[in-house]
Amino acid sequence: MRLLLIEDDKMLADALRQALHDARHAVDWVEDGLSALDAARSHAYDAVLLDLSLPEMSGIDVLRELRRSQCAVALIIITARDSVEDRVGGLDLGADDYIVKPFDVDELLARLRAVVRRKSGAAQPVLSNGVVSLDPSTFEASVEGRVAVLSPREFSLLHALLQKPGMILSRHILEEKIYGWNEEVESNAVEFLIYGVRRKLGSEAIKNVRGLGWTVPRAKT
Amino acid sequence: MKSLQVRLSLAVSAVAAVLALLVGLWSFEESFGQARERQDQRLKGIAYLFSRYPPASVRQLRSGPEARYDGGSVAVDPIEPSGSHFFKLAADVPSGYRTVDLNGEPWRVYVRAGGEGRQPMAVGQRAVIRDRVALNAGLWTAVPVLLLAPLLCGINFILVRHLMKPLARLSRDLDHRTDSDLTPLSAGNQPSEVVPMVTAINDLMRRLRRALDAQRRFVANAAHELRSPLSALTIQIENVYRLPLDREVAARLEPLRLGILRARALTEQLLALAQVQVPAPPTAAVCDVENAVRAAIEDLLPVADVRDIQIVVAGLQPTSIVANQVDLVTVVRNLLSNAIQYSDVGAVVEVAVWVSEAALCIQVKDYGRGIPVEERDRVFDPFYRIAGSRGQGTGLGLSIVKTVVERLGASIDLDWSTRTPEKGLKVEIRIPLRLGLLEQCARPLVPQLASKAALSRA
Repeated sequence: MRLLLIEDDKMLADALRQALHDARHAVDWVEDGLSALDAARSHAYDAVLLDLSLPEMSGIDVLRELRRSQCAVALIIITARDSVEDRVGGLDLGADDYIVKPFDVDELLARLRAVVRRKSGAAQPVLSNGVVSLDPSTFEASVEGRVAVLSPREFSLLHALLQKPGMILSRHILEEKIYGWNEEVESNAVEFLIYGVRRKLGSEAIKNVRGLGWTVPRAKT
Repeated sequence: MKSLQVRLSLAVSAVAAVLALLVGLWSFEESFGQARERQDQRLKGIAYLFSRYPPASVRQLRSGPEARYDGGSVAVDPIEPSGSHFFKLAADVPSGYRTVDLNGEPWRVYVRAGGEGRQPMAVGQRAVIRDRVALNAGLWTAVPVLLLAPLLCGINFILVRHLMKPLARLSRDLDHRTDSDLTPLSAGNQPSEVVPMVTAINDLMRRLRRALDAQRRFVANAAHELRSPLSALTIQIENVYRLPLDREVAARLEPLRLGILRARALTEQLLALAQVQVPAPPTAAVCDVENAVRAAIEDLLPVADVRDIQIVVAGLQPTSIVANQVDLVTVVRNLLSNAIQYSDVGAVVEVAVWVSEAALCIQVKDYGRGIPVEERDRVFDPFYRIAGSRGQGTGLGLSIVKTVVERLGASIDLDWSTRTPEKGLKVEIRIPLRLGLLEQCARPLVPQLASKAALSRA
């Protein structure tokens, strides 16, 4: 992918460029907002990494200006500010995701992939947490080369969990995702489905947090 | 006695009472003396009249001693050449006032000596009657003044209280403020004596606000300035690790990597502590407890997985409290992080949430070593470490928890997880629900929050 990195801290920019280069991405680096706008308008990037605290023109202004000029490129905000307002503000202005410093490269790469995939409009992409993969077109799930075909409800369950690995979904939320409005939900339906998925994919595929819900683990870093 | 109001009331009342007493005594003394003098004048007047114009009756009086005094207030006693009959005075007694003892009873007597054809005359009055009249006169003037004293005290008390009202209101206003409310006090309708104080307080609050703003800015700037290089360091070391490494080089790089991770964790915790120490503006935000606990657990699940620690949640129901979501997540995450860190591999960490007596209780239990009773007060101090503890932590987790807990107006309690043997740490936090406030804002805010949460998940 070709990426635009907007970051005024040279040390961080250098480290990031190396990491992204290692991950086979081409990176253009600019240090301020005006150059960023120039670059974004003259090249077709797959994604933009934007630091919010820039000299002169702030990251938020850059984002606003980009979106105003109908530039729909995938954009991830990099911020040291962890206040909720900043994040929500960025997302409201059309950022696709945000990542808070300090972060791990693998997490950044995973988010980059997700954002770009979402933007490219690829219909129902393969979902994965790095261990379990799910192909929506064939209803096939795979773990370490082992492939299993899931029933529609097992698929809905795993699909919901793999939407955001690491997030714990309660029984109530899972039931909502699996069953339609007029469908009767049996009392231990979720457990039954999870039992089915685990039997096909191994017991480690879905993790239970007793009293709270189920999750598929985040990609191991 | 610290109350200015009571002191002022008592002081003014005491002065009023003493003055009333003094004035009462003085007026009593005055009236008493005047009444006596008046009666002396009366005796003198009667003596003058009788000696000058002696009526027949007086002459008749000479005949028998019994008829001379009829029991009335005044006795008129003509002095004969042989002396007087009633008062037993000698014929040559000189003019003037004297006290005569008559059958053991004192009389006040005025004698008008004879001469120039006058009848010498003694006019007397019983001292008892005379004293009673004087006493009456004295009391009639003194008692109203004395009665005025309690009345004055009462009026004075009410007045002082009324006049102190602005002060009382001012202190009530200040008292009801939250830590972070530094808006100036209104000096508009204050009495002029209070205005300088209000001005001084406002000035103090302005300076405090400036200092807090500076601190807030510093924390934000420090967060940015520290996190960027730390991010760079983390990424750089990861970059190195992606290369094929000589075994010896890798062995030497590992401590560096761990050091960077430790510096990163410490910085995060320091910034978190600094952030929660800056008083936040009062919040009307409603926090979904279930979401907060879930977010905290999601954050720590990977850490727990590495050590094969199982997190078990009990009693989590959809509950809302008035608090910032970030605060609650911070508390639960730090407690959980501690619990995971001090648990043995493969152990269980328990989280329980329940509502009791208008408070939300959150309990986090581990089965590690626990904290000895004598250390429990000190573990909240920043960087405090229990002797012999493994020391992987930053030493700030519980300080952060304590600070947030105080900010939430909550209480925190440490105990053993099991009594026999004494083992494990059980932390219990009680956050008052502030039901009134919750009902006020629950309805408009909850759906909004829920939809936002749903958006961020989608």
